[in-house]
Amino acid sequence: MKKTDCLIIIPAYNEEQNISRVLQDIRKLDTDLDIVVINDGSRDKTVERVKKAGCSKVITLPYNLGYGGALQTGFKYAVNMGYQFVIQFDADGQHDPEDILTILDHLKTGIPDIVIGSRFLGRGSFDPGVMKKFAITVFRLLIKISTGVMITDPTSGLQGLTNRVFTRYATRGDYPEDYPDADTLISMIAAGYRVVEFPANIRIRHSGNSMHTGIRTIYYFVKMLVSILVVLFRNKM
Amino acid sequence: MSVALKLTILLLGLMFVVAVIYLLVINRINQRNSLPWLTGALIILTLSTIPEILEVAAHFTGVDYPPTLLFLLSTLVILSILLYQSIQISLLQDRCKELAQHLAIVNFNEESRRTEKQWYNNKNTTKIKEMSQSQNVNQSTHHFS
Repeated sequence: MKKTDCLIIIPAYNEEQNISRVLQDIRKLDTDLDIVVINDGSRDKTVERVKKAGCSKVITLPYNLGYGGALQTGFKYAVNMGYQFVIQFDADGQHDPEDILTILDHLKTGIPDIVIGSRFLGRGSFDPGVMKKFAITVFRLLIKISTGVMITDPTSGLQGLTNRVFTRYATRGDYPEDYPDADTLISMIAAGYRVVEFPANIRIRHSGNSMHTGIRTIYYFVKMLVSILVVLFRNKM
Repeated sequence: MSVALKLTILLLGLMFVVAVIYLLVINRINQRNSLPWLTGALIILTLSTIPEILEVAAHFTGVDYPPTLLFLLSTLVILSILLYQSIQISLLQDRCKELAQHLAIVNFNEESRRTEKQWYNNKNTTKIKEMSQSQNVNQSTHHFS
Protein backbone atom coordinates (compact mmCIF):
# COMPACT_ATOMS: atom_id res chain seq x y z
CA MET A 1 0.00 0.00 0.00
CA LYS A 2 1.27 3.46 -0.97
CA LYS A 3 1.13 6.25 1.62
CA THR A 4 2.80 9.13 -0.21
CA ASP A 5 4.18 10.08 -3.61
CA CYS A 6 7.78 9.60 -2.54
CA LEU A 7 9.63 6.37 -1.97
CA ILE A 8 12.97 6.03 -0.23
CA ILE A 9 14.99 3.20 -1.74
CA ILE A 10 17.70 1.68 0.45
CA PRO A 11 19.83 -0.99 -1.23
CA ALA A 12 21.42 -3.18 1.43
CA TYR A 13 24.03 -5.89 1.20
CA ASN A 14 25.25 -7.40 4.48
CA GLU A 15 24.34 -4.29 6.49
CA GLU A 16 23.06 -5.92 9.69
CA GLN A 17 25.23 -3.57 11.78
CA ASN A 18 23.96 -0.33 10.24
CA ILE A 19 20.47 -0.81 8.80
CA SER A 20 18.46 -0.56 12.05
CA ARG A 21 20.06 2.76 12.94
CA VAL A 22 19.50 4.10 9.40
CA LEU A 23 15.80 3.20 9.50
CA GLN A 24 15.35 4.60 13.01
CA ASP A 25 17.03 7.87 11.98
CA ILE A 26 14.74 8.21 8.96
CA ARG A 27 11.70 7.53 11.16
CA LYS A 28 12.78 10.38 13.45
CA LEU A 29 12.07 12.78 10.57
CA ASP A 30 8.41 12.30 11.36
CA THR A 31 7.37 12.19 7.72
CA ASP A 32 5.01 9.79 6.07
CA LEU A 33 7.50 8.73 3.41
CA ASP A 34 7.44 5.14 2.23
CA ILE A 35 10.66 3.19 2.64
CA VAL A 36 11.65 0.08 0.73
CA VAL A 37 14.79 -1.86 1.55
CA ILE A 38 16.24 -3.91 -1.30
CA ASN A 39 18.04 -6.82 0.28
CA ASP A 40 20.69 -7.57 -2.33
CA GLY A 41 21.25 -11.22 -1.48
CA SER A 42 22.64 -10.52 2.00
CA ARG A 43 24.08 -13.48 3.86
CA ASP A 44 23.74 -11.90 7.30
CA LYS A 45 20.72 -10.82 9.36
CA THR A 46 19.91 -7.68 7.34
CA VAL A 47 16.28 -8.75 6.65
CA GLU A 48 15.60 -9.63 10.30
CA ARG A 49 17.03 -6.29 11.42
CA VAL A 50 14.89 -4.39 8.90
CA LYS A 51 11.70 -6.15 10.00
CA LYS A 52 12.61 -5.66 13.65
CA ALA A 53 13.04 -1.95 12.97
CA GLY A 54 9.41 -1.88 11.82
CA CYS A 55 9.94 -1.63 8.08
CA SER A 56 7.67 -4.10 6.35
CA LYS A 57 8.79 -3.34 2.82
CA VAL A 58 11.77 -5.56 2.11
CA ILE A 59 12.32 -6.84 -1.40
CA THR A 60 14.76 -9.71 -1.31
CA LEU A 61 16.78 -10.49 -4.42
CA PRO A 62 17.61 -14.18 -4.92
CA TYR A 63 21.31 -13.41 -5.36
CA ASN A 64 23.68 -10.46 -5.10
CA LEU A 65 23.08 -8.30 -8.19
CA GLY A 66 25.25 -5.35 -7.19
CA TYR A 67 24.42 -1.79 -6.11
CA GLY A 68 22.97 -0.74 -9.48
CA GLY A 69 20.93 -3.92 -9.88
CA ALA A 70 19.44 -3.47 -6.41
CA LEU A 71 18.61 0.18 -7.09
CA GLN A 72 16.98 -0.73 -10.40
CA THR A 73 14.78 -3.23 -8.55
CA GLY A 74 13.61 -0.34 -6.37
CA PHE A 75 12.94 1.80 -9.45
CA LYS A 76 10.88 -0.98 -11.00
CA TYR A 77 8.85 -1.29 -7.81
CA ALA A 78 8.37 2.50 -7.73
CA VAL A 79 7.14 2.47 -11.35
CA ASN A 80 4.69 -0.38 -10.58
CA MET A 81 3.33 1.48 -7.56
CA GLY A 82 3.08 4.84 -9.33
CA TYR A 83 5.38 6.93 -7.14
CA GLN A 84 6.25 10.45 -8.30
CA PHE A 85 9.66 10.71 -6.68
CA VAL A 86 12.28 8.35 -5.34
CA ILE A 87 15.20 9.04 -3.05
CA GLN A 88 18.22 6.75 -3.09
CA PHE A 89 19.66 6.38 0.38
CA ASP A 90 22.64 4.24 1.40
CA ALA A 91 22.30 1.59 4.10
CA ASP A 92 25.71 2.21 5.63
CA GLY A 93 24.62 5.17 7.75
CA GLN A 94 26.78 7.73 5.96
CA HIS A 95 23.85 9.79 4.72
CA ASP A 96 22.09 12.26 6.94
CA PRO A 97 18.28 11.71 6.96
CA GLU A 98 17.78 15.49 7.27
CA ASP A 99 19.00 15.73 3.67
CA ILE A 100 15.94 13.76 2.52
CA LEU A 101 13.79 16.81 3.22
CA THR A 102 16.16 19.04 1.24
CA ILE A 103 15.98 16.64 -1.72
CA LEU A 104 12.18 16.61 -1.54
CA ASP A 105 12.04 20.40 -1.48
CA HIS A 106 14.22 20.53 -4.61
CA LEU A 107 12.18 17.84 -6.42
CA LYS A 108 8.88 19.50 -5.60
CA THR A 109 9.94 22.74 -7.29
CA GLY A 110 9.60 20.80 -10.55
CA ILE A 111 12.85 22.24 -11.90
CA PRO A 112 15.47 19.48 -11.49
CA ASP A 113 15.06 15.88 -12.64
CA ILE A 114 17.99 14.63 -10.57
CA VAL A 115 19.03 16.06 -7.20
CA ILE A 116 22.45 14.99 -5.93
CA GLY A 117 23.65 15.37 -2.37
CA SER A 118 27.26 16.45 -2.84
CA ARG A 119 29.69 15.41 -0.15
CA PHE A 120 32.20 17.99 -1.37
CA LEU A 121 29.87 20.96 -0.93
CA GLY A 122 28.71 19.60 2.40
CA ARG A 123 28.82 20.63 5.98
CA GLY A 124 30.91 17.72 7.25
CA SER A 125 34.48 17.08 6.10
CA PHE A 126 34.62 14.23 3.60
CA ASP A 127 37.86 12.45 2.79
CA PRO A 128 37.39 9.66 0.24
CA GLY A 129 41.08 8.70 0.20
CA VAL A 130 43.74 9.44 -2.42
CA MET A 131 42.67 6.82 -5.00
CA LYS A 132 38.99 7.65 -4.93
CA LYS A 133 39.68 11.38 -4.85
CA PHE A 134 41.72 11.01 -8.04
CA ALA A 135 38.96 8.93 -9.69
CA ILE A 136 36.29 11.50 -8.73
CA THR A 137 38.43 14.36 -10.11
CA VAL A 138 38.81 12.53 -13.44
CA PHE A 139 35.07 11.81 -13.61
CA ARG A 140 34.24 15.45 -12.82
CA LEU A 141 36.51 16.55 -15.65
CA LEU A 142 35.04 14.05 -18.10
CA ILE A 143 31.49 15.15 -17.25
CA LYS A 144 32.45 18.82 -17.61
CA ILE A 145 34.19 18.24 -20.97
CA SER A 146 31.44 16.05 -22.43
CA THR A 147 28.36 17.91 -21.15
CA GLY A 148 29.55 21.32 -19.99
CA VAL A 149 27.94 20.71 -16.59
CA MET A 150 29.98 20.73 -13.39
CA ILE A 151 29.05 17.92 -11.02
CA THR A 152 31.19 18.04 -7.88
CA ASP A 153 30.16 14.59 -6.61
CA PRO A 154 29.34 12.23 -9.49
CA THR A 155 29.69 9.15 -7.25
CA SER A 156 27.23 10.24 -4.57
CA GLY A 157 24.66 7.62 -3.64
CA LEU A 158 22.33 10.23 -2.14
CA GLN A 159 20.06 11.21 -5.00
CA GLY A 160 16.51 12.23 -5.61
CA LEU A 161 14.87 11.38 -8.90
CA THR A 162 11.63 12.34 -10.58
CA ASN A 163 9.27 9.80 -12.11
CA ARG A 164 10.61 10.60 -15.58
CA VAL A 165 14.14 9.67 -14.53
CA PHE A 166 13.53 6.50 -12.55
CA THR A 167 11.09 5.20 -15.17
CA ARG A 168 13.93 5.51 -17.68
CA TYR A 169 16.34 3.77 -15.30
CA ALA A 170 13.81 1.01 -14.61
CA THR A 171 13.21 0.23 -18.25
CA ARG A 172 16.68 0.77 -19.67
CA GLY A 173 18.53 -2.45 -20.36
CA ASP A 174 21.90 -0.72 -20.06
CA TYR A 175 21.44 0.62 -16.51
CA PRO A 176 24.72 -0.48 -14.84
CA GLU A 177 24.42 -3.44 -12.52
CA ASP A 178 27.33 -2.39 -10.36
CA TYR A 179 28.13 1.34 -10.28
CA PRO A 180 25.65 3.77 -11.85
CA ASP A 181 27.73 6.92 -11.44
CA ALA A 182 29.41 9.29 -13.91
CA ASP A 183 28.42 7.23 -16.98
CA THR A 184 24.72 7.39 -16.09
CA LEU A 185 24.95 11.12 -15.33
CA ILE A 186 26.61 11.88 -18.68
CA SER A 187 23.96 9.94 -20.55
CA MET A 188 21.13 11.67 -18.62
CA ILE A 189 22.55 15.19 -19.04
CA ALA A 190 23.11 14.50 -22.74
CA ALA A 191 19.47 13.39 -23.00
CA GLY A 192 18.36 16.77 -21.59
CA TYR A 193 17.68 15.91 -17.94
CA ARG A 194 18.44 18.66 -15.42
CA VAL A 195 20.77 17.91 -12.53
CA VAL A 196 21.27 20.01 -9.40
CA GLU A 197 23.52 19.50 -6.41
CA PHE A 198 23.11 20.58 -2.84
CA PRO A 199 25.52 20.42 0.11
CA ALA A 200 24.98 17.07 1.83
CA ASN A 201 26.11 16.17 5.29
CA ILE A 202 28.25 13.05 5.38
CA ARG A 203 28.55 10.94 8.50
CA ILE A 204 31.05 8.32 9.56
CA ARG A 205 30.22 4.72 8.69
CA HIS A 206 29.60 2.86 11.95
CA SER A 207 30.77 -0.55 10.79
CA GLY A 208 31.51 -2.62 7.70
CA ASN A 209 33.53 -1.70 4.63
CA SER A 210 32.80 0.55 1.67
CA MET A 211 32.31 -1.12 -1.74
CA HIS A 212 35.20 1.01 -3.04
CA THR A 213 38.24 -0.19 -1.14
CA GLY A 214 41.70 -1.42 -2.13
CA ILE A 215 41.97 -3.10 -5.52
CA ARG A 216 38.24 -2.60 -6.12
CA THR A 217 38.85 1.17 -6.47
CA ILE A 218 41.19 0.49 -9.41
CA TYR A 219 38.67 -1.90 -10.99
CA TYR A 220 35.92 0.67 -10.39
CA PHE A 221 37.98 3.43 -12.01
CA VAL A 222 38.91 1.43 -15.12
CA LYS A 223 35.41 0.01 -15.51
CA MET A 224 33.89 3.48 -15.20
CA LEU A 225 36.29 4.91 -17.80
CA VAL A 226 35.25 2.18 -20.26
CA SER A 227 31.61 2.79 -19.41
CA ILE A 228 31.97 6.56 -19.97
CA LEU A 229 33.63 5.91 -23.33
CA VAL A 230 30.75 3.64 -24.35
CA VAL A 231 28.21 6.30 -23.32
CA LEU A 232 30.09 8.97 -25.29
CA PHE A 233 30.23 6.75 -28.39
CA ARG A 234 26.53 5.94 -28.06
CA ASN A 235 25.68 9.63 -27.83
CA LYS A 236 27.70 10.37 -30.96
CA MET A 237 26.02 7.55 -32.91
CA MET B 1 52.81 -31.06 -44.73
CA SER B 2 54.17 -34.38 -43.49
CA VAL B 3 51.92 -37.45 -43.42
CA ALA B 4 52.40 -37.83 -39.64
CA LEU B 5 51.27 -34.21 -39.00
CA LYS B 6 48.37 -34.64 -41.42
CA LEU B 7 47.26 -37.81 -39.60
CA THR B 8 47.63 -36.22 -36.15
CA ILE B 9 45.50 -33.21 -37.11
CA LEU B 10 42.93 -35.48 -38.76
CA LEU B 11 42.74 -37.69 -35.67
CA LEU B 12 42.44 -34.72 -33.29
CA GLY B 13 39.78 -33.15 -35.52
CA LEU B 14 37.81 -36.42 -35.61
CA MET B 15 38.08 -36.84 -31.84
CA PHE B 16 36.79 -33.33 -31.41
CA VAL B 17 33.79 -33.90 -33.70
CA VAL B 18 32.97 -37.12 -31.82
CA ALA B 19 33.23 -35.30 -28.47
CA VAL B 20 30.85 -32.51 -29.61
CA ILE B 21 28.34 -35.07 -31.00
CA TYR B 22 28.55 -37.08 -27.75
CA LEU B 23 27.85 -33.91 -25.70
CA LEU B 24 24.89 -33.21 -27.98
CA VAL B 25 23.52 -36.73 -27.51
CA ILE B 26 23.74 -36.62 -23.72
CA ASN B 27 22.19 -33.11 -23.70
CA ARG B 28 25.19 -31.34 -22.22
CA ILE B 29 25.28 -28.82 -25.07
CA ASN B 30 22.38 -27.60 -27.18
CA GLN B 31 22.27 -27.63 -30.99
CA ARG B 32 22.64 -23.86 -31.21
CA ASN B 33 25.83 -23.77 -29.13
CA SER B 34 27.30 -26.85 -30.79
CA LEU B 35 27.16 -25.28 -34.27
CA PRO B 36 30.25 -23.00 -33.93
CA TRP B 37 32.29 -25.91 -32.50
CA LEU B 38 31.17 -28.32 -35.22
CA THR B 39 31.86 -25.74 -37.92
CA GLY B 40 35.33 -25.10 -36.49
CA ALA B 41 36.08 -28.83 -36.28
CA LEU B 42 34.86 -29.38 -39.85
CA ILE B 43 37.13 -26.58 -41.14
CA ILE B 44 40.13 -28.21 -39.45
CA LEU B 45 39.15 -31.65 -40.81
CA THR B 46 38.75 -30.34 -44.37
CA LEU B 47 42.07 -28.52 -44.28
CA SER B 48 43.93 -31.50 -42.88
CA THR B 49 42.49 -33.91 -45.49
CA ILE B 50 42.90 -31.54 -48.42
CA PRO B 51 46.14 -29.69 -47.54
CA GLU B 52 46.28 -28.23 -51.04
CA ILE B 53 43.71 -25.63 -49.94
CA LEU B 54 46.04 -24.65 -47.15
CA GLU B 55 49.02 -24.44 -49.47
CA VAL B 56 47.14 -22.18 -51.91
CA ALA B 57 45.89 -20.02 -49.02
CA ALA B 58 49.43 -19.85 -47.54
CA HIS B 59 50.78 -18.78 -50.92
CA PHE B 60 48.22 -15.96 -51.21
CA THR B 61 48.68 -14.73 -47.63
CA GLY B 62 52.48 -14.86 -47.82
CA VAL B 63 52.88 -17.59 -45.18
CA ASP B 64 56.06 -19.63 -45.82
CA TYR B 65 55.09 -22.71 -43.84
CA PRO B 66 51.44 -23.77 -44.57
CA PRO B 67 50.81 -25.64 -41.24
CA THR B 68 51.38 -22.32 -39.45
CA LEU B 69 48.36 -20.97 -41.31
CA LEU B 70 46.33 -23.90 -40.01
CA PHE B 71 47.25 -23.00 -36.41
CA LEU B 72 46.54 -19.34 -37.09
CA LEU B 73 43.10 -20.25 -38.45
CA SER B 74 42.45 -22.54 -35.46
CA THR B 75 43.35 -19.70 -33.07
CA LEU B 76 41.02 -17.35 -34.94
CA VAL B 77 38.18 -19.89 -34.77
CA ILE B 78 38.75 -20.31 -31.01
CA LEU B 79 38.85 -16.53 -30.48
CA SER B 80 35.60 -16.11 -32.46
CA ILE B 81 33.93 -18.81 -30.41
CA LEU B 82 35.15 -17.22 -27.15
CA LEU B 83 33.78 -13.85 -28.24
CA TYR B 84 30.48 -15.51 -29.14
CA GLN B 85 30.42 -17.16 -25.70
CA SER B 86 31.09 -13.80 -24.00
CA ILE B 87 28.14 -12.28 -25.89
CA GLN B 88 25.98 -15.22 -24.81
CA ILE B 89 27.11 -14.86 -21.15
CA SER B 90 26.33 -11.12 -21.20
CA LEU B 91 22.87 -11.81 -22.64
CA LEU B 92 22.21 -14.51 -20.07
CA GLN B 93 23.41 -12.24 -17.23
CA ASP B 94 20.97 -9.56 -18.36
CA ARG B 95 18.12 -12.05 -18.57
CA CYS B 96 19.05 -13.49 -15.17
CA LYS B 97 19.05 -10.00 -13.65
CA GLU B 98 15.63 -9.22 -15.17
CA LEU B 99 14.26 -12.50 -13.85
CA ALA B 100 15.75 -12.03 -10.38
CA GLN B 101 14.28 -8.51 -10.13
CA HIS B 102 10.88 -9.65 -11.39
CA LEU B 103 10.84 -12.63 -9.02
CA ALA B 104 11.84 -10.46 -6.04
CA ILE B 105 9.06 -7.92 -6.73
CA VAL B 106 6.43 -10.62 -7.36
CA ASN B 107 7.41 -12.42 -4.14
CA PHE B 108 7.24 -9.18 -2.19
CA ASN B 109 3.80 -8.28 -3.62
CA GLU B 110 2.52 -11.77 -2.84
CA GLU B 111 3.82 -11.60 0.74
CA SER B 112 2.29 -8.12 1.21
CA ARG B 113 -1.07 -9.35 -0.09
CA ARG B 114 -0.95 -12.32 2.28
CA THR B 115 -0.04 -10.13 5.27
CA GLU B 116 -2.79 -7.66 4.39
CA LYS B 117 -5.36 -10.46 4.04
CA GLN B 118 -4.30 -11.93 7.38
CA TRP B 119 -4.60 -8.50 9.00
CA TYR B 120 -8.16 -8.05 7.66
CA ASN B 121 -9.09 -11.59 8.73
CA ASN B 122 -7.79 -10.95 12.24
CA LYS B 123 -9.66 -7.64 12.34
CA ASN B 124 -12.89 -9.32 11.19
CA THR B 125 -12.51 -12.15 13.73
CA THR B 126 -12.02 -9.60 16.53
CA LYS B 127 -15.08 -7.64 15.33
CA ILE B 128 -17.26 -10.80 15.22
CA LYS B 129 -16.06 -11.78 18.70
CA GLU B 130 -16.85 -8.31 20.02
CA MET B 131 -20.30 -8.37 18.39
CA SER B 132 -21.18 -11.79 19.78
CA GLN B 133 -19.95 -10.74 23.22
CA SER B 134 -22.09 -7.58 23.17
CA GLN B 135 -25.06 -9.69 21.96
CA ASN B 136 -24.54 -12.07 24.88
CA VAL B 137 -24.42 -9.15 27.30
CA ASN B 138 -27.64 -7.73 25.79
CA GLN B 139 -29.40 -11.09 26.00
CA SER B 140 -28.37 -11.64 29.61
CA THR B 141 -29.47 -8.09 30.56
CA HIS B 142 -32.82 -8.67 28.82
CA HIS B 143 -33.28 -12.02 30.56
CA PHE B 144 -32.43 -10.48 33.90
CA SER B 145 -34.94 -7.67 33.48
